[in-house]
Amino acid sequence: MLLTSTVANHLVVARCCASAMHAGVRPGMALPLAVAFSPGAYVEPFDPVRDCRALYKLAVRCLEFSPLVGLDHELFVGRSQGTLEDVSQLHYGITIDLTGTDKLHGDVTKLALHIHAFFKGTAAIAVAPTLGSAWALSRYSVAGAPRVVINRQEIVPALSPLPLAALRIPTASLDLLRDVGMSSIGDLTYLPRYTIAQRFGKFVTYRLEQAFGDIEERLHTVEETKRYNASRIFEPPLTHRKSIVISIYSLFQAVINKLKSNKRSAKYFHLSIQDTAKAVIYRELSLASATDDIGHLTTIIEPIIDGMNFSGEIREITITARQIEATRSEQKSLSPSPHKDAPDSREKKELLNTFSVRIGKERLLFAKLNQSYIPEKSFSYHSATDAMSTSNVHESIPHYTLHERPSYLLADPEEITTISMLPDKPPSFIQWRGKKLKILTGIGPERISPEWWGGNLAKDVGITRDYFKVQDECGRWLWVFRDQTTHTWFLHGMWV
Amino acid sequence: MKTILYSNTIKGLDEHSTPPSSTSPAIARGLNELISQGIVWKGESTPVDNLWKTCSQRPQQHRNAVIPFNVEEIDGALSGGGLACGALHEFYYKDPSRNIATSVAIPTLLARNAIDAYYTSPTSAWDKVASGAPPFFIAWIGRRSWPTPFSLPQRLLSSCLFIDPPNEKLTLWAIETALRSPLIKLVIADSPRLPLKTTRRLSLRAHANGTTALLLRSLQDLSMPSSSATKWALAPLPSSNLHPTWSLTLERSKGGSIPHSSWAISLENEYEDRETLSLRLLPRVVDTDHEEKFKVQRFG
Repeated sequence: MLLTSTVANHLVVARCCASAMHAGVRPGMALPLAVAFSPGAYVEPFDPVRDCRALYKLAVRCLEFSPLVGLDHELFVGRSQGTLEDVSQLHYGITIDLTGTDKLHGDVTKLALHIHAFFKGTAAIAVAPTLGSAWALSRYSVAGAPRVVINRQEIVPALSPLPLAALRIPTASLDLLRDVGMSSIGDLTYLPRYTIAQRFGKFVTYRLEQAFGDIEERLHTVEETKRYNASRIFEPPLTHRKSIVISIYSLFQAVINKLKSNKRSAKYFHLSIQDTAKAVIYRELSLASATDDIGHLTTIIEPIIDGMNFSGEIREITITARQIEATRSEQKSLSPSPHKDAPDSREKKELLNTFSVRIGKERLLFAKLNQSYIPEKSFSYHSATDAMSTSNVHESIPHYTLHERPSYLLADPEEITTISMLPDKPPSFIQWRGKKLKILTGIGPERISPEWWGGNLAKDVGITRDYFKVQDECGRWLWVFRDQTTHTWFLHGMWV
Repeated sequence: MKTILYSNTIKGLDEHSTPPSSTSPAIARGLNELISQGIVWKGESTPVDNLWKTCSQRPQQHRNAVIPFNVEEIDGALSGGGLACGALHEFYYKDPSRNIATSVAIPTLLARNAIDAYYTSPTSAWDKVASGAPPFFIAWIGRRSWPTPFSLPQRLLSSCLFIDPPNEKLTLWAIETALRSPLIKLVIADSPRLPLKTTRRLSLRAHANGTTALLLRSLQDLSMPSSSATKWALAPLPSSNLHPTWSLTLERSKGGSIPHSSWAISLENEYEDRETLSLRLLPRVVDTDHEEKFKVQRFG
C-alpha cells in the first residue's frame, strides 16, 4: 500500500507499508518509480487528518482496557496547528495507562497478549514502567509478541541498544549526536547529564529523564465523544402548528433522555426547523447553567416556541445539545449551603436560566461594592450567571450612612445650569430637566478627587468634584456637584 | 463513594415530632451537609421527605406573614400589623415638579425589614435551615427601581437580583416570573401601566406563591382600579435638619382600618451604621392642606 502526496506537482510516496518497503519503496520516492518496484500496490492519497481521526477512534475503542488512553502530544499539536504532514509516522501510536488494570486480566503479560489479540497481531506492543521507555521499545524493539518490561531497573538495559531516535528528540539534536559518534541510548547514559544538556540541548536530557522515569510525563488522553441530538424527518411534511409543537417537545424529551442516561446535562440547545422550501429556522437556547430537567426546559422553551411562526410545511426538526457537562448528583430538596462555597441550588440555577434566556444574561445582575470613593466606581453590576468572586474586601469598603450618599444615582450625571451667589457654596437656583428649582438649604462641599492610583486620570471619573447636598423648595434633597476643571454643574443623585 | 442511609431515629427528625425540637436545626444542618457532600443519601420515604412536604407548603404557612414597617402607628393601620405577604402593594411618588417618577426609599426600607423578619422570626427558622440558603431573593425589576448598591447593607446585597428588562412587555413578564419563583420572596418593580385584569392576575400569582410585590407605579395610574392590597403615596416634605423627610400616605388598604392616613417620616441609620435603617415618625400628622401652609410658614 502506498500513500501519496503532491510535491511540486508530482505525486510522491509519503507513506508505504512494510511489504512495499521490503520491495524497495522508500517515502519520498516518485510514484511511478515506486509502482515499478511494487507492481499492483494499492495507491491512496495521503490524508493525515483522516488518519489522525481514525487513530483517535481506535484509541477511544482502547478505553475498554483502561480509563486513560492517550495519543502522542505531537499529534494533538499537529492537528491544532494544521502541521500533521510534518509529524513523523512514528508518532502514530496509542498509549494506554495500565496502572491498576492488569489485575483484571491476570497479570501484565496476559493483558499485553489480550491487547495484542485485540489488534489481531498487527500492533507492536511494549509494556514498560515509563511512557518514554514504552514508546521507545514499541517503536524499535518489538517483533511479533509484546515486549514487557516490568521493573524500573530493567529500563536502562532494555533501552541501551536502541537508536537515539527512540528518545523522541528532534532531528537537529540527532544530527549533532551522530556527529560526535553517538548512535545508541546506551552511549548517552555514560555521559554526565548536564554536559548533554549544554551540548545537545535541554530537550535531550528531558526526554532521557522521561524515559528513565526521573521526571514525570503527562498523558494526552482521548475522550469518548457522544452526540446528544435528536432529529426527525416528516413524510408527509407537517403543517399543523399543534403537531409541530408536539414534535419539538418530544424531540427535546428525546435529547434529555439521552443526556440523562449518560448522567450528563447540557448548557446549550440548538433547534433547527427545515421546511420543504429548504428554508431553515434556527433557535438557540443558551442557558446560564447546564440542565437535564425537561420540566425546567419546557418552561424556558415555551415562550420561545409560542413566539415562533411556522409557515409552510415542516420537513425536518433537529435538536442538538452542546456544552455537555457531567450532572452533579445532588438532591433536589435538601441542598443547603450554610458555607459560602456550596454550589448553587437547583432552584437558583433554574431561576437564572429562565431570566437569562428571555431577557439576556447581561440584564440579570448582582451588585458588588468596590473599594473606591468615587460614587460611580464604588459599586459595580455583574452578570448573575457569572461565577461570583467572593473576595473578602468588605472590610475596606468605605461605609456611608444614608445621609451621606443618595439612595438613587442617575445612570450618568446630568448637566444642570445654576445660579450661585458665592463660590464654594451651594447654588441658589438650579435648572434640571427643564424645571427651575429654588434651593433652600444645602451642605458641602465634599470634595471627591480622582484616585491617583487608578491610572487614567484623564477620564471622566478622574476629575475633582465638589459635591453639595441641597434641598429644593419642594423638600427634595438632591446631590449636585461642580466639576473643578470646567466649572460646570451636574446633578448626580437624589434622596428619593 | 460511601453510602449511608441514616436511621429514622435521629432526634428531631422523627416524622411525628412536629414542630421539631430546638436542637433539630443543628442536626439538620449537619445532616444536610453530609447529604450535599454525597456521603449520606436520602431514602425514598424518610422523615426528610415529610420535612420537604412541609417546606413546599410554605406559602400556606406564610399566609399571615407580614413585612413590618417597625413603626407602631403605621403597622397598626394595616390589618395584619404590616404589609401582607403574598399580595401586591403599590407605591406612588408625588414629585412636585414631576420629573422624578419613582421613589426607592420605602421599598429599600421594606426590603431590609422583610429580610430581617424572615431570618429572625422563630417559627420559620426550621424552614430556612431545611430549604437551604440563600432562601430569600429580592428581585429589583427595572432600572428606575434600583437603589444605589451602597445604600443597601451587605447582607441584603448578596440576595438582591437586579433585572433590567428592555421593554414594558418583558418587565411584566419578569414580574410574573419572579412572582412564580420559589426563591424570590420579594419583588420590587418599576411597574408599567397595568390594567385591572393584569393586577388581578399578578395578585393571584403572588397569593399562590406567597411572594410579595412592591410595584412602583407612575402617578397617573393612582386613580386606576387595581387589585392591590395597599396603595401608598410618598411626597417630599421640606425639612429643617439635613435629613430627607417625606409624607407617607396610605391611600388605600384592603381590609385595613383607617384609609387615607398620613404620616411625616424620615429614614435614619441607627448609630451611624449603614447596616441598620429605621423609619422615624415625625411628630406631626400631615394632610395636604397643611402641607402648603407648613411650607410657607417655615421657608416663606
